[in-house]
Amino acid sequence: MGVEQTERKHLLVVDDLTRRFRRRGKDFDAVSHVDLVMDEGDFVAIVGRSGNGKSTLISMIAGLIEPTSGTVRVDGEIVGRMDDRTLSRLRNQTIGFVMQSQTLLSNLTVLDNVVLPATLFDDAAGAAGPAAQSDVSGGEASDAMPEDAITPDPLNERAMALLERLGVADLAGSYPKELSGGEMRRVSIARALMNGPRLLIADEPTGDLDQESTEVVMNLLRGLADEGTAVLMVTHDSEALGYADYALRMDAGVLSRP
Amino acid sequence: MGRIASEDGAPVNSHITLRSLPAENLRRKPLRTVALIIVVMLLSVALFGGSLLSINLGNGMRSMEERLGADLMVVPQNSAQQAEALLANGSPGTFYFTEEAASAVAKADGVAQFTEQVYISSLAAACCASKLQIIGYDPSTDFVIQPWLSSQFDGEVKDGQIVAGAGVNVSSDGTIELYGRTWPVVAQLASTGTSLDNSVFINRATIPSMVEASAQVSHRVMPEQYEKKAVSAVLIKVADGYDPHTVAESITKLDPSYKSLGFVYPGGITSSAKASLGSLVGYTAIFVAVLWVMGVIVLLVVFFSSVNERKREFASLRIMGATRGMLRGVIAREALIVSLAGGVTGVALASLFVFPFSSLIGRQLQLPYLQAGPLAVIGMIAVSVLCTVVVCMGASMLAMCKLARPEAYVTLREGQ
Repeated sequence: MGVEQTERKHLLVVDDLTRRFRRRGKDFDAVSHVDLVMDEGDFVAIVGRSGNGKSTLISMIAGLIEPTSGTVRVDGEIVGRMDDRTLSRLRNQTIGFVMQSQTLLSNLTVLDNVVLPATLFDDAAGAAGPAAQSDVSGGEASDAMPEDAITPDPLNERAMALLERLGVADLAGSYPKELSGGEMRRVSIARALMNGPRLLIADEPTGDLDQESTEVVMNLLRGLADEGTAVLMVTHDSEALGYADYALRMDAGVLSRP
Repeated sequence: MGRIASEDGAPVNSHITLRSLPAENLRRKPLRTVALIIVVMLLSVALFGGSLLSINLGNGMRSMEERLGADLMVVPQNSAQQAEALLANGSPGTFYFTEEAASAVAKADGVAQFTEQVYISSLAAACCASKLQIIGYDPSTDFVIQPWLSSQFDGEVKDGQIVAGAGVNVSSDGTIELYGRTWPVVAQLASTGTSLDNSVFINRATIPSMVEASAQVSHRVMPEQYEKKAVSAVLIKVADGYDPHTVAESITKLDPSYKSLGFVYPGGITSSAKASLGSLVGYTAIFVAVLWVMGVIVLLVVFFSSVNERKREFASLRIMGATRGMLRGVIAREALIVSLAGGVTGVALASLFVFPFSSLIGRQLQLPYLQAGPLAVIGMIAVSVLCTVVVCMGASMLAMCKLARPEAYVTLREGQ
């Protein structure tokens, strides 16, 4: 009884999580018996050398790959037991995921890329968490407008507010191929924040960014954490580490305090 | 915050949705989209055009069988080939017996019924509306033309009057010009898909007037002494239990000179036309099948290669929360748009050739060719478009299976 109640209090509970792969006939644990607990407002950084299991860990947390053993609970629900629709809804509304690689849809404009996640489920637009709510409040939609004026779409407004916050609002009408790596990264972050996730997972969010952009992104992530969003970040960037509450080291699949 | 605007500066008051994503994907990949539509269009052209061609040929054959009511045609020496052409889908001709033969032929064993017909070809010259087959028949004995005429024309064809086949151009005042004279057309018959469509029918008593008219325009179609008694063919219905070939043989035994007569077996014409039709329909079916197999392979290749190209796109959609069903929906809608566009364009393109050039196709094939009715055509359109949609959706769903296999994470980490 005690364990169940304790787990329900946390936003994220990773319990004895292991993922085993086979390489050249030999089994190895990319992630080995990892435990992690996060609450709303936590900002945790994971550091470690490439190939030590960081991306595998966060992908299991988001339900993108299945663990060999152990469980991931988000908001008290075990991710591995969810059906496709429930898991997809979790990814869409509770978890925001910023991948290390470029994942913008090439056929859509920056604005449409950011808006799209909010259109996948009927209730997605209304499910935005604290971060997104604060973004929307920054819009100008409520300003007095003439009767014949075209009312901007609320989702477009919210997406524009996020792009503005990340310094790429002027690129709203551009297509991904017209953007630099850093610009694409910032648009990806805006997209991950579109539905106001309670847990933001970011894999190398400052990977392609210059110092100025890094500051913009990290201030944003810090601000989100301060507003109640749990942020789990994988990074190599020592500058970014300073924004986190604390850092964990991933070494040969084992997560530990440095 | 600045005013929200689209690329061209217009205010944006609507947003992208999963439903509009397929159209956007197709719009942003015009080359791929057009290539796919062309492949689907070719499939549709082949299926619709090929099937309609086969149906029309089949209709023509049935119609020809219905119109050829005689079992045996006795024609003058060296005229058998011309008579066969006249029955199938050949060019008009003029031939006649120079000696009285009909009554003698009728005496042969096994003849149940007989009638005489006269065939005259009009000219492709200023004197005539066009080159037509003029068929003179004897209403008192006829059992071939009359039943058909009476099913289409309620009345009696009087001397000097004409009944026109479906393919004959009749003037707006209801007349036709033949050998410099204007003849009243009392009825126009429904299409049969045979050379009868390019024929006009007259009472045999009108033949002398027609011959005289031809003499007036410097081309007398037959000498004056034959114009009243000319017979081009004796059409025979054999008695029950008799074979037309046996009857033909008994005719040749009536008089040694009858050995040189021409014997045409309309049933045989139908069989040879059927054989030609069968091979043509067979070749058409093979052609359509080969085109379809190639088209389906091309579609599969295009869909599979596009899946490889789009793995990241779909992995990205999965990560942002799209279910497998949503991805299937995107792929299915793209396939639906492409297949409908290609299918409908293909049917329209095939129609541009099949319908306006229907009679030309019939003439070129030298086979009876009768355009299917509107209901059959509508049915064929529906089947063709449905087939292209099913094949296109099937190919895209096969590709989708491949897409759904690797986990999104694995796809996105490829090459990292």
